[in-house]
Amino acid sequence: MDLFATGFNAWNQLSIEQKILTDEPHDLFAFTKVLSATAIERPVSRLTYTIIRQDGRLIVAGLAPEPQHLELLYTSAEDASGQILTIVKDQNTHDSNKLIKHSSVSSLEPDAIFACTPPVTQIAAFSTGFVILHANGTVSTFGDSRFEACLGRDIDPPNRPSETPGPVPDLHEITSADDPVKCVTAGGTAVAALTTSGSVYVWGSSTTSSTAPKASGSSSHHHHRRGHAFQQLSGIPNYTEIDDGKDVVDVALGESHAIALTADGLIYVIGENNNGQLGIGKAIERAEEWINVPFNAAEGSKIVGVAAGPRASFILTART
Amino acid sequence: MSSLRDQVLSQYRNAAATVATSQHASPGSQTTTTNTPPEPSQPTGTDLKALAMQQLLQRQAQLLIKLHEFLPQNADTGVDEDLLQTRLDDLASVCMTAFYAYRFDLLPYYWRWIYTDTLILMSYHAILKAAREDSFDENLMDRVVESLDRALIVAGGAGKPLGKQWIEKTLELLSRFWEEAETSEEETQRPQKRIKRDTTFSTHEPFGRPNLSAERTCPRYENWTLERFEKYMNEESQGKLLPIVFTDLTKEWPAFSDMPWNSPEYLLSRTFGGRRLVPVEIGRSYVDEGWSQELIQFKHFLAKYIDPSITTPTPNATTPTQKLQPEKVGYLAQHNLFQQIPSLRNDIQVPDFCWADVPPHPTDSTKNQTPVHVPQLNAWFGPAKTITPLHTDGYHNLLCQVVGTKYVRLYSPEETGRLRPRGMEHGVDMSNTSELDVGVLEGWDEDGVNDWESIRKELKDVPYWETILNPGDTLVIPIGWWHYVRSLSISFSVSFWWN
Repeated sequence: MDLFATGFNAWNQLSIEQKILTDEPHDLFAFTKVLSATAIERPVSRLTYTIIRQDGRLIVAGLAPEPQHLELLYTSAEDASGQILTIVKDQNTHDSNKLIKHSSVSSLEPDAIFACTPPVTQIAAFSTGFVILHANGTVSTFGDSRFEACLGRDIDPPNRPSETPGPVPDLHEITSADDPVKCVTAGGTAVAALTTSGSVYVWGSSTTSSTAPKASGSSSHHHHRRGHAFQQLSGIPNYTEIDDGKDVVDVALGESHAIALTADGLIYVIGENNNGQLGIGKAIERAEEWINVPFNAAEGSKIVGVAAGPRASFILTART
Repeated sequence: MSSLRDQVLSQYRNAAATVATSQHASPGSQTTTTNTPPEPSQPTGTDLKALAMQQLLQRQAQLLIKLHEFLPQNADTGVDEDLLQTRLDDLASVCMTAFYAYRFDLLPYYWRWIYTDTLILMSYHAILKAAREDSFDENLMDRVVESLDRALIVAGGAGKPLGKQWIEKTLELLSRFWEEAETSEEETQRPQKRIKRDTTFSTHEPFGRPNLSAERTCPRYENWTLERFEKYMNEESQGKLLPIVFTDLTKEWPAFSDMPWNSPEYLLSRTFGGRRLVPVEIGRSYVDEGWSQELIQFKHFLAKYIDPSITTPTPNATTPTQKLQPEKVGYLAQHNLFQQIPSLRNDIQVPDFCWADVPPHPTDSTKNQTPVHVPQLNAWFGPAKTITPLHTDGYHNLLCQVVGTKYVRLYSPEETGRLRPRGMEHGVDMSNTSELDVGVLEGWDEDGVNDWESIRKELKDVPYWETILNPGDTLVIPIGWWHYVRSLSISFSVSFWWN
């Protein structure tokens, strides 16, 4: 299998097998092969490091956390303030499991434990909270009530508080037993769910960027805040159309960009490209719509998955 | 070669050397909203992200020092300046993500420190480029001042030993340097937009003024001693404090005489030629749809929101001088301008009454704010018809009117139940703000949505007090009193909160 990466590399977090040459590393602006191995599992990429399970063992690139935390960090979701959410099995039953939240990777005592029925199969973090996929294909969220739109649901303390997992009702209406959600992903202030049939629904908060005022009279200095991958997000999950409605088989969200693999084996990206995270070169700073990235898997290989760090994208290929 | 130019450059080089060795990450993940860095704690709490950011910042500081060393020659420095710029921008944007992700009181201190240092380095890079090409110009000054002001306003100028003190000193140095550079360039001055000299802000009240009812008008006093005031606040009123106006508390303020705040020219001279950034609220009132905030140059705030007629577009424009009204309402509200621009602080004085012992909140002790050691100052500067909706503060308040006139309506804390306090909105407790729009209730403003007629009936017998503040007037707003404030003309006020 091969792993290709593009994007933010200030701490050599994309230099997985490569020699580290200069002391101020450049970002990667095109998908570059960074690892070859018999078995590569989906990378977990955060701001300063990338963790990959290669042939059964974890390897790490970039400014890395302490080795004893690697396994935990690889299997958990981390929000922007460093809160860590982990799935824990329930003994004796497969009908439920638990989510455990720690205030940071080094905190010993959990600060919240949520029992989950049906059990949780996958989790992802946005800036201010978490999205949860259950075994029956339903989706829950919890997090900071200041960004209610990211939760995709009404909050109404004490009945439906923001800090404990609660279902995303509109998503349950859109999807159905025939087409359950198979994967959730999140980044920045956006959250997405991918259904089995290949539709991507996105929700979240985008208020701060679209209304960002331009300083009058003075030059158009931006405010040091990166934009959002999707324009006009709201608290209601919305179908995002890729190239006239192609079916999607895998999708991943970064802090301000997203990457998708369509059923016909093509790669599409959208959002900010300041650090090369879209893998389309330097010329385009931002893609407002989903655009196709010219990427060809090697002869006899095909793309099997995509992943995203906050400012990086990954493509995983395997021999057919 | 100007020695001031050299001073600016060496000031920056020293700053970069400081950044290159600063230990932003070492205090761990402590949070603090004050401007004092927390004491270094055990390194066990060190946040990986903080450490990474510190390293990245330090590398950029070293690259800038290297650029500086090559300054006199046009040699190849070996520094990739595009990458340097990208990395500084990366640092700033990662900090901004943290600013939004944390509730402001939980934000670890180092994020504000790293942001401040990053913006200092950004302005250093701009200065170095200008020095290399000998192109110190208007645009450069704008950019440098913008970076430094953003660090002050957005991050509170956090960090030591640089931070606020360093920024203030550097802005002062830059302003002297620029003044010198401009004077030597005066002869070649091209005609451009200029602020009319010797003008003062118009005192016109374009929307008229409410009729005050005699029995509800706040009483006006003068010649009170601190003892008398203390007695009034604590005993005389028997817990039934009323809002009152003093007409003589601010008589000595230079802002009324030698340092005239009603003069656009004076204010521009105190704000680096109007270059300093100020936070401006856009929209009628912070509870309205479409309300927003922006950071803009003070001169643009004056020209765009206060009085478009104070800048003369071109000398040949002979159209009759009709009163130009700004399109949107822009309000410099609740901003500690005096911490940001200390030279304006000397034009006012904290009234002695702010040191008086005062009682706590009369009806709800949970509304008391933590005691402040010194009174909290805020500036309120805007055109006619800026509105602060009906709300209460967790402090006693002296509202001092300096320029123009303001109408204030006040309701007692005991009426809280009838004033429709708001609830939680977007995760923010809005219970200190009322749903009632006094302007609409009185028919001064329009609103088609609500059934104000029934609310009017509901409020008919709720007693209130009111006043119009003129320059020199000071309104005492006791803690917990609901107040609605509306400017009648261009207005500049200062509030002092204490407890």
